[in-house]
Amino acid sequence: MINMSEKVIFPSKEWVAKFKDVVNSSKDYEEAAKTWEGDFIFEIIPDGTRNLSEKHQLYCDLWHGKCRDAFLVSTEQPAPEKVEYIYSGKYNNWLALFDGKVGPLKGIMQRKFTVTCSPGAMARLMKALKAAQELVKCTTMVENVEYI
Amino acid sequence: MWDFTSPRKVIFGEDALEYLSELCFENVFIVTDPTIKTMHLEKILAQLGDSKVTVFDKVSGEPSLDTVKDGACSMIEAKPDVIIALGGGSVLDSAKGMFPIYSQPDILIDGLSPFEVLDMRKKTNCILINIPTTSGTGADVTWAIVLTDLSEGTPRKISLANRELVADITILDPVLTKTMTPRLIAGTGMDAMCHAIDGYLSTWRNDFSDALSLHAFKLLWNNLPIAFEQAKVGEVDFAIREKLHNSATMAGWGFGNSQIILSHSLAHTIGAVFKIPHSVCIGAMCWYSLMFNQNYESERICDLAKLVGYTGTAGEIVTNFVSSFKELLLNLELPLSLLEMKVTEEEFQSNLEDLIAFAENDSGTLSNPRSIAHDDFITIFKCVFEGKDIDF
Repeated sequence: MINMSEKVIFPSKEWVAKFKDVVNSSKDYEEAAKTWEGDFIFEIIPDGTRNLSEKHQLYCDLWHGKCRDAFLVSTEQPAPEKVEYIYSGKYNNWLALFDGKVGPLKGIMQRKFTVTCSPGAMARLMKALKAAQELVKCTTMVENVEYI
Repeated sequence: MWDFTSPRKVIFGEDALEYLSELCFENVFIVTDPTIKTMHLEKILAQLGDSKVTVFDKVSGEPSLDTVKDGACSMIEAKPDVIIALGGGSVLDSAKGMFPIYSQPDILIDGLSPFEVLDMRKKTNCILINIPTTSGTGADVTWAIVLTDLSEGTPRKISLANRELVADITILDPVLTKTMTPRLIAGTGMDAMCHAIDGYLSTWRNDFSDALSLHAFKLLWNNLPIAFEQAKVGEVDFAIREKLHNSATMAGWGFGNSQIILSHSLAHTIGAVFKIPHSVCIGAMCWYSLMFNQNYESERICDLAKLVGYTGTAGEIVTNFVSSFKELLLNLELPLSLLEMKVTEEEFQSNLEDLIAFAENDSGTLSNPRSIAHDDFITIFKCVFEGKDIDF
């Protein structure tokens, strides 16, 4: 069990672990994503904001309203060969997303984020807007975060 | 970064159809529906000279993905250098859906991404001309299409978007609106008014969409009741009809470059589940949306109201405007509730969970100025069913 009162750095293994716990305890996400099947890489690209100096990738396997697996991608723990969605953006845009200043879909429209996936997968994503919104809400519920 | 997308040309006013005779096409593909074909096709053919013409007239109201695929097959065979979409929103959306399949037959149209590079014009040497015959949908200038997906148990409206779907040319000739019935004028006019309001209130609004939404709203508010009353006694004033026709396109331009809000989430949902035409239900859904959002966007609702002469304190203006909006619906003889739209209590209760699930995932919910929780939707839909005011 993760101690929510402990300070965590974003991005880090600890943050991902806390995020996974938040997702798995969110009834709203569970309801919104009850039919969702698909894994993501969330990619954070350094852009001179704060002190993030290298690209980070967070892997999340989302399945029927739960997060089955989540980890910070590294040489020791690489992402699976085939990941359905890659949602990528500059660090500053991620901070704006966490702050509620940018929505997950509007962020794509404004080129603040890109989604890489197959055309069929994009159609499924567009039908799951509520789940996407709830997932973003989960990121804001991770407590005591210190951003690099 | 934000985009403002628009057709290359908007031809409008009396005799605008004659512009077609200034263009030169070898192979024309016309998308229409059986009624419009009977009423207006000759007017188009008269402008096309010796061009070879293929007509696809199988579009129905609330068109399905299957209709679009069917039309695209005919289009691939015909190999046109121009597609002319002649009709209301269903026809225009269908043609916009067929074009990508024509350019790339193996494309998954229901998986169309807003950012996919389609290169439709380069691949086909073909352009798209939209000629709306109703003054409402704005589909002649938007880059989104709404189709009905019948592949799952309950029919569901899906919105697809790509900026390449915007027509090259849109032609607004008010003569095509001459045969519109009072009922159609009311329904499509309220659709346009709702586009103007949604575009102005949406969280995706911007300076460009604001300008178009505001002026479109003013034209619609001032001219729609007159056109309706005139049509009821068989009168057609083309100056009024032209204002409506132009403002519907301007409203489409506005919301097409901003977004829709709660009103359209509700209308898409009840349209798909209960098969209620969009033009019948959108006006009432706009009223519910105004009530739900009135305390969260009072300043912007005031802007709209002041534009059409409302005065007083902000609170008075908003209250009076929302109440006048209801009166307008009544004057236009439009239904206010699902009950009035002939939905039974049993049908409503048995579909409530689907209604909420679809509405929650509609893009209009995401860009609504006030966030909408699951329980809010339960209350909203109950009000919509019974025709009650939203007071929370």
